[in-house]
Amino acid sequence: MLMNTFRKHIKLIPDYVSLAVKRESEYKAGFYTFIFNQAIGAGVWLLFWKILIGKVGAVGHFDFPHMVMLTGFATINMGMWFMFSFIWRLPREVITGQLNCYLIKPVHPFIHMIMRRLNLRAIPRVGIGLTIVILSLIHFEEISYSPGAIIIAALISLFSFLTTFLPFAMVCMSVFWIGRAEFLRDLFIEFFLFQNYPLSEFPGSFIVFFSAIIPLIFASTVPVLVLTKFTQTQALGLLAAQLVIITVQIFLFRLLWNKGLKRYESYGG
Amino acid sequence: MKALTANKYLVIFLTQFKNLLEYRVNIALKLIRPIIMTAAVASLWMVLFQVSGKDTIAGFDRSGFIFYLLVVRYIAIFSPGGRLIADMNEEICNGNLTMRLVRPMHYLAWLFFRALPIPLFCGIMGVAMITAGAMMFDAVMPSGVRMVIFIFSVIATVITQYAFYIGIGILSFWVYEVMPFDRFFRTVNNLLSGQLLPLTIFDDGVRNVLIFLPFASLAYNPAAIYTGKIETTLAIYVVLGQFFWAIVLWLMVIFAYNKGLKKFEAQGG
Repeated sequence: MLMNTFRKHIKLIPDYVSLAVKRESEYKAGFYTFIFNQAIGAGVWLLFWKILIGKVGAVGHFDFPHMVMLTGFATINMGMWFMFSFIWRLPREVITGQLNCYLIKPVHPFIHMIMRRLNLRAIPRVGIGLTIVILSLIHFEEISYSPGAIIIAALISLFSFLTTFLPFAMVCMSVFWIGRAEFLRDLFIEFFLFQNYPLSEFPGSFIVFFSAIIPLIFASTVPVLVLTKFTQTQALGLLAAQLVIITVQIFLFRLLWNKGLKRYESYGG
Repeated sequence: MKALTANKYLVIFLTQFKNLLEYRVNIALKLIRPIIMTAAVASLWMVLFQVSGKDTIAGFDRSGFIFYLLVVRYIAIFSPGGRLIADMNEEICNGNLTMRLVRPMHYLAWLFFRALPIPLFCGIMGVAMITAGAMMFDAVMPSGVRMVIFIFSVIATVITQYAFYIGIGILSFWVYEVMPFDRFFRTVNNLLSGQLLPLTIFDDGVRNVLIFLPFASLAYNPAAIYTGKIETTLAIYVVLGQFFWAIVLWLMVIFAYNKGLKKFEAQGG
């Protein structure tokens, strides 16, 4: 039963992608401006670190080459997050009662919600981030790394999409209980800024917050540390910790979604 | 006749002001958010102070830096935000602008007075909060003259901010999707306005150019006047420069709006 449902949803992916491609081809100017803006965004952060480190020196373990890599990983994470960012509309869909449209379809309402407005414009952002990371690995001779570290860093970076997306989705789901959840959602979005900072250099309380509550640390800081500082055993330990966090998040996510749906009424949550 | 014209915009302003009561939680969070974000960003700067071993960075000591970040965050509250652009985009592209044009009001003035109350209220409250905070913690307070210059600087900031945002919205006459332009503006603004870094971190030549650009008017200039980083005589010239840019930008906005109106058709731009 579960496998059938899973297979059914997998089969729908090409259709969702095809729809997204058609939509994007209608708005070419917006598409290219968006990509240009993403490149500029990454450039601004690189310039920021160049100026800052030039004036005050390295931020703890993080010198300019590490910051370049950090910016690359943060760009990859934001790209992946943007692809499914339509979830930010959940509070509005619940309040206006439009969630009904998803509930009557023979597809999981949450999956339909994020896939129906798949944001393909974010894919180039992942490409920009990947390019920055690869160039920093090639260009900066002071960064030494092993192939094993690259694989672990890549996995952590990939899974970091879930560690940031799931808490955001849960914040959006708070609409089922508190009604207007936009202010919480917007505050959460502001926290994404911290992906661009070397969170391991923050005070202990912030490190705990960004590791366990909003695990942004896995988006960029941990992959950089895996490539430049940690041993392979430490890196594997961090990967395992990330997987544990994701498991807990998925459990909480399912719990909140099911409980929230029970509270939902056709005229709004 | 003129009194009547002024009256109708005042009515719009006051009506929107009453809406404040409807969004109490959002407004409370809007006022608290800068403190949370400043606390988080400031902790990174404290690390920078510690690792660099410097007493001052970019002309600011530790407490001065935190204060600068806080003032910049609260000044950003005056901004109307992307919602204004999204609303303009929808009205122009859907053809709903027609409904506005038949009313005895100038569309741009209507937009300005409709969007102004909430940011204005929050901004004033924010500045009052930091001033009260500065008094409580014996921080350096602006003198009477400097306070007057600061108020004029903030007025110029608000006018310039609206010119930028409405200007981006007006692009809807030519481009279907304008939100990428909003993001582009924010990205560039982050660096050039002094939100990420105070402009004093740049070398003299670059800084002197940046101070007189319209971006500096959006954050650095008022914050630097408030925190005493710009001496009183220069501050007067800086504020005059701010008003110069505010007028230039508004003239450009009005010009673009008139051009756009000629292109506008009832079924959409």
